[in-house]
Order: sequence, then structure tokens, then C-alpha cells
Amino acid sequence: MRRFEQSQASSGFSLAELLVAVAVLGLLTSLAIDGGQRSLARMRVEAASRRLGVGLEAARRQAQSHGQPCALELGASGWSEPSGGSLAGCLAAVVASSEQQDSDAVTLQHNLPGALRFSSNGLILDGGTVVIAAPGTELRRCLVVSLPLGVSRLGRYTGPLDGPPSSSACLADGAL
Amino acid sequence: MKAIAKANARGFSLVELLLALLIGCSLSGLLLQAVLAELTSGQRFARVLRERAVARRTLELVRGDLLQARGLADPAALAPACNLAGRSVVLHLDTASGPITYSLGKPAEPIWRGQVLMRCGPAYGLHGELGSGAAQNRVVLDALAASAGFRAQPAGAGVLQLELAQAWADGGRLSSRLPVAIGAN
Repeated sequence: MRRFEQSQASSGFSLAELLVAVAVLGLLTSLAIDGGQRSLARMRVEAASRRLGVGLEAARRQAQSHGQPCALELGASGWSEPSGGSLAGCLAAVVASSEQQDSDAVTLQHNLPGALRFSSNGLILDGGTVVIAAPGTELRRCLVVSLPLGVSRLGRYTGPLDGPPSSSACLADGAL
Repeated sequence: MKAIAKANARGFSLVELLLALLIGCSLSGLLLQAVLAELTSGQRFARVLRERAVARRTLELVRGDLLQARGLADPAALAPACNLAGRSVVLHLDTASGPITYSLGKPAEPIWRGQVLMRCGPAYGLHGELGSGAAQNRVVLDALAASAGFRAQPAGAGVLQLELAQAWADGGRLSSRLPVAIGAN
């Protein structure tokens, strides 16, 4: 009996056992990588959504604290100073969202005007909807900005992939 | 003696390993739960702070409109400038730029939660002044309580008490009030 156990213990694994173990490990690794990539893409979407909200609030505060109206433009990589118009840019928002997203990693679609204006007493004079998406995840966030207070709400976008965003396709998300 | 040394060299038994695993998992689970609870509590606190500031700004906005108004108006005599879609009028003002109507009711869009307070009136200019363009009907604030989400009622001579009551699905509640001296209005 002892001899049998010893010979079993010293014989190691068979090729079939090793192949099964490698296959299982490979499957688990691929699942983990897939899950990780999806999770990373979701995090990119969430972070970009929050950065947009932070930028809005920073711009509003800047206009109010300086007593000067200012404006912002939403480009492919986030908030920037408006390219046209007579209003100065809200630099605070650009700085607050300076950790801009990689424009290849996150896509922004919106129906905001060319320049989003902030009044000198901290009101937002223009509003709209921004849809934030990233390759690798089905999650699409939407940010609805209402005027005049600039109350913004994040939700889950259910509208078509192409075409201008619509606030009626932006649903409140219980997880937020 | 030799037998004990041999037994020690064998390592842990399966039962011991399973027990250790169970204890480790239980402790990790408890720790994770505590961290998650702390995170949720922090997020809720941050939201309350954020919503409190927005509620305060809402009351300040209504106050600003009240101070610019010629007086309170009767919706039957001075019709609101927008279709209120069944929402009830909670404050109706007569201003030089046209009527301003605050209404409370269900939102038209699914992103807003609970009841919404909407403002129908002239848009604001770059310095917060009332403009002269067409009236806009916009959501000012959401998550208002179904009953008495917004009230503007007299509180003594020449004072109007503005009150907001908000409620969220997770049980969070927030009440804000602001007295406004409307003087001769």
C-alpha cells in the first residue's frame, strides 16, 4: 500500500491533467481580461461624466465669484474656451477638467450650443444633453443640464447611437 | 517524539485549511461590508451637501424673481405664458417682462426624479436681469416631495416664507426655507 502511494505521489501530473489545467487557467485569464477591459471602459465613461459636471460647477462658481459672465465650449476632449463669441472663457472649468479624457477612449455627443454661457450671478443661460460613451462597454451616460440654475443630472442613455442626443432618452439611474 | 515531528511536517489537514479559509473569507466579507457602508454613507453625505446648496440657490432664484416682480398675480386674471401640462401653480408673479409662473408636478422627461419645480418666464440676461424674449419653461429643481414640495405662504406682515421639501427613493429628505420681505408688493 505504502509503495503504491509513494509511486503515485512521485509520478507527478499526466499530460491530460496538465492540458486541462492550462485550458482552465487560460479560460479564467481570458474571462478576467475581458471583465477588466469592460470595467476599465465603464470607469472611463463614469470619470468623464463626472469631470463634465465638475467643470460646469467650476465655471458657474468662477462667473459668480468674479462677477463676470463667461462661456465654455464642449469639444471632443472636454471643456475648453469658446473659439468664437465675445465672452471670455471660464478658465476655472478648463483647469478643473484639465485631466482631459483621451478623445479616442471616450466619445462625447451633445446638443449644447457653441458657447455655453454663465451669467455674472452664477446662472447658466444655455442647456442641453451630453452623451458619454466608450468602446468596450455598452454603458452610455447622459448628462442633462437644465437652466437657469445649471442643475445637472447623470443618467443612462437609451437612444440611438447616431444622431443628436435627446433628453427624453436619458433615464434616471437608481445606481447614481 | 519522532511521531510528533513527522505529524508536524505533514502540514495542515484539509479541515484546518477549510476552517482557516472560512474565517479569512468571513473577516474579509465583514471588512468589505464596512468599507462599502462607509463609502455609501460618504456619497450620501456629499449628495446632501450638494442638494442643500442647489435648494438654497433655488430659493434665492425665486427670491430674486419676487423682488423684481410688481406683485403676486392671479393665474385666472393673468394667464401663465406656458403650457403647464397639468402641473399646479405654486407661485405666479407679475413682472415688467411678463408673468413668471412656478409650477409643481410630474416632469416631462425621465431623467428628473419625483416632482419637479418648473419656472415659466422670461430668460435671464448675462448679468441676471430678466430678458424680454419669449418665455421659457424649465425644470429648476427635482426630487420634490409629492405634497408640499414647494410652498410660498405669508409669514407675517410683508413677509413671504418660501419652503422646499425634497425626498429621495433611498429615504433621504431635505427641507429648506427662506423668508422674503416683499414690502409694499
